[in-house]
Amino acid sequence: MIKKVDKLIITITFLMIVFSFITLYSSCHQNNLFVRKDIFFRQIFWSVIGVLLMFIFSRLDYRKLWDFVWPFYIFILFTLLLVLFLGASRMGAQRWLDIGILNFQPSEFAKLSIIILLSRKFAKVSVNKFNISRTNILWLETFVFPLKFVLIPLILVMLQPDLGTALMLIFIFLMMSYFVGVKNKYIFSFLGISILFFPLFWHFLRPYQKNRLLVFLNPNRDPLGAGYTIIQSKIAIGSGRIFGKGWLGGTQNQLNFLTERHTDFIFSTIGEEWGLVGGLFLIFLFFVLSYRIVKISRLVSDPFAKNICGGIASWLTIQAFINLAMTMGIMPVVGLPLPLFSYGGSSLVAFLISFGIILNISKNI
Amino acid sequence: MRYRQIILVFKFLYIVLILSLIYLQLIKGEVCYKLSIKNSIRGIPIEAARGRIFDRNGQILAQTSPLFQVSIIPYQQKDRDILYKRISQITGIPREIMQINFNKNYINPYRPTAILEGLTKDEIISLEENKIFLPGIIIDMVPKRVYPNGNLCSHVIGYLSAIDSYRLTKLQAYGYDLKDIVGYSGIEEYYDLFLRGEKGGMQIEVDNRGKQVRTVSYKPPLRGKDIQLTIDVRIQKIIDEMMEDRKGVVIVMNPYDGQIIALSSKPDYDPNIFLSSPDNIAELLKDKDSPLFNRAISGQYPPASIFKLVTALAALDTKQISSNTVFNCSGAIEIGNREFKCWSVHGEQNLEEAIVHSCDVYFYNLGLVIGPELLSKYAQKLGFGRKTKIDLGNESEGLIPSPTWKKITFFQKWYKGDTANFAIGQGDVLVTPLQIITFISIFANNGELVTPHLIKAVEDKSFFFKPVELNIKKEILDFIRLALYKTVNSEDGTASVLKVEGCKIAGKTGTAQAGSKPPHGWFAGYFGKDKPQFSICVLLENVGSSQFACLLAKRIILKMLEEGLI
Repeated sequence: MIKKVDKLIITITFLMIVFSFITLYSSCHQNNLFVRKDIFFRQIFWSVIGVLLMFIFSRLDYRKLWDFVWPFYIFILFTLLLVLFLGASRMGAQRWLDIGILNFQPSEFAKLSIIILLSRKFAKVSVNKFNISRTNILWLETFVFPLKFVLIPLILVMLQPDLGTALMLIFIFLMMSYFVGVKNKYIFSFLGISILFFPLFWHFLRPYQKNRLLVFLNPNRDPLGAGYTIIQSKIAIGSGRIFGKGWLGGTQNQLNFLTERHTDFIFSTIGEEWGLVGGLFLIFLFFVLSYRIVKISRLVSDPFAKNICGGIASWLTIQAFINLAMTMGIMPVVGLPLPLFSYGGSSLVAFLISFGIILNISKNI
Repeated sequence: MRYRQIILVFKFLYIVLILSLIYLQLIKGEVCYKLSIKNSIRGIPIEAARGRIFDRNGQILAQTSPLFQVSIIPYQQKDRDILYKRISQITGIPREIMQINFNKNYINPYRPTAILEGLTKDEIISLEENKIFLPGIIIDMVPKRVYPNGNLCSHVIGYLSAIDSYRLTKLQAYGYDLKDIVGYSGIEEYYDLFLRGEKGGMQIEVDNRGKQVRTVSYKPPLRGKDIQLTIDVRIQKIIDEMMEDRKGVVIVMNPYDGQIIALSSKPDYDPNIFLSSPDNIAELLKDKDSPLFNRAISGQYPPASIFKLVTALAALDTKQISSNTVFNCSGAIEIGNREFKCWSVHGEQNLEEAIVHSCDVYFYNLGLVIGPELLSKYAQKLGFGRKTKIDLGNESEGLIPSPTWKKITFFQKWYKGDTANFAIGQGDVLVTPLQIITFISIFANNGELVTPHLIKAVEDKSFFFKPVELNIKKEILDFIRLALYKTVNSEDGTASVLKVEGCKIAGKTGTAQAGSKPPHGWFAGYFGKDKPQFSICVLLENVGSSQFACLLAKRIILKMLEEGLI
């Protein structure tokens, strides 16, 4: 048993935070003026809080989560409900809870609580039945029982409405099921049924969500409205070419052609100012981080820890993929931040806490 | 646990990302880069003042003076009707005019678009005073071309107008742009590249709402170069005055170096109207007398008797005859079953008498002696049948026929009658007045073919065009010169009306057939106190006789004498 935390994860996390500061500093400029100072400094503040929490969670034995996950989960459901009734509305969606001076977005933590809860559920099955993939029990126990814990928060975030988080919850569930060895036929039949129900689901979408999906199919459908962001984002990334326009040199960003550049579309700033080199470096960091977490999962013996690692790695990768893919225009726009990079305290803190848990797990190798 | 599988899924997702990043930044990179530049950089042109045009003594023929205009930037003015209404209330200019101007001048939402042009000082002052109520209007000065002398010299100077698609495709390589104002004829067209100067401009960086963030670069406009012409406005004015409303051409040229001193082609036009009142342009274009047509360089006429000098020169130079050779004129001659008439009965004539009296029969005979090929060769040597290369556009070449030309053009045989007509400058021969004056100058300057030109200097750089030495024997030149002198100064010379005290004049008349209309009258010659100072060519359309051309020349020369210009 090595009692030391994984240094690679710490290194990459810090590299990413530094890179995100550099990028955000540039994103907060407009017309060569540092106009969004508040955003930049608030993100620094959140990073400090997040790193502190990461440190605390790396010291806290992850096994305690086994017992704490239920209260945590209930608490998250409660806050999600609160958001619906009391939440601050931003850009047409209620996602934030105003606690004093700080805004708190519970849906980010909902992902983490789902991961831990699912880890516990799958670990239980795994311990009892030795191996999920070999069990002959009904798919109810391995697939449908865990699913219901996902569906409750899913419906709540859908009501906000937050399509991105809802999708993330589904994907996390599917990836974790796949990871722990739930039979492929269950996963694929679930996917198949989802697709069959899509036309029904379409009616529940808000007009702007429908528009986003239609715009994805044809950005020129509404070049000054919903399609505007995606067109400008693609131009921004493409115009960076190999070496980029240099830090603070991106005209698309600096001149405010991209209004959401510090949040969901932060990658367009990276692409424009750092070019292909910067973009590949970023993707490389994400890959190494995910790969390392999966490796830790393989090295630990506790199924609960294994599942947590698999869930967090999936969360990180899928969210990064969806975000990057939508800024590059290969996926419809759903509101999802780029892990560790996009402005937003809740997402940053949730990820840093997850990495803290991973670090603690890594001590048990 | 599916470790390997999940890593595989991750790898797949990241490879998709890498591929799409490579596609966007490597393959589509250049396109996106251009788009991003286009997004943020806008160019605003600043017009350059056009160079001035002076006459040889520094008198202004064309200049650029400031003109006030009001512009708006379209994207800033969403509700233009209210703005128009307010401006209309202040200046009293009807709203429709602004609407029409806007539609005419609009290029893109970011380019200032003029809605009012040519405002008076009072209107500008009242607009400036009320500027608070007119947010976003731009009052500025644009250079405007002014021709202070109106019609005078219009065919030399030319005029300006907005570039058309034909000129734009031709001139785009030289940096000409849509909606540029360019020269359309005359000096304004020929020396447009000198005169136009270099457009300046500002590149501004704009943000997503088109608001100017900063000026990226500023290039001051470069004033066009001033041009000095060889024209003497004093002489030009005399000629224009004397021409009155006759249709025709008068050219006065320095016979030694080809400097055009005056060039008048009537009817003419006022070049000012092309920029100020476009409605009158249609009238000019519809006019049956085609005032926009420069007869001096583009008009093609039969040279008539003036061409006899070519025949005489060819015969003497090839020694086919001597100056003493005599032909008898009985008023007509039969050539190939057709009777060719002379305008009078001259009896026995030697060459000198034949020139002085302009005897047709003598030259019918002479033409038959030397033959059409030789005549054609000499005519071309003396500057006919090709452009004189004057610095004006649309010059005509004229036409010098030959048996070969007739064969390939009409598939017809050349007859002797053709030769006879050719020898006296009728039939198919066509010349421009400019070719005639260059030709007659050969006798004034002892055998050199000059290049007629209008440009004297561009800024400090002077222009000189070297004449071509024709290698004609001095005796022949002296002989013809004497004949030309006698044409004017002997009692029975065809141009005897032109005799003027105190000035030596020599020249030749011509009466050119003009189909069913009365014939055109020609006079071509040179004059000066002791030696030839100026050559002159007068052509009057459909006046019936060359005598009118002679009289006009006389009045011009008398007036020049009176004003001490000779």
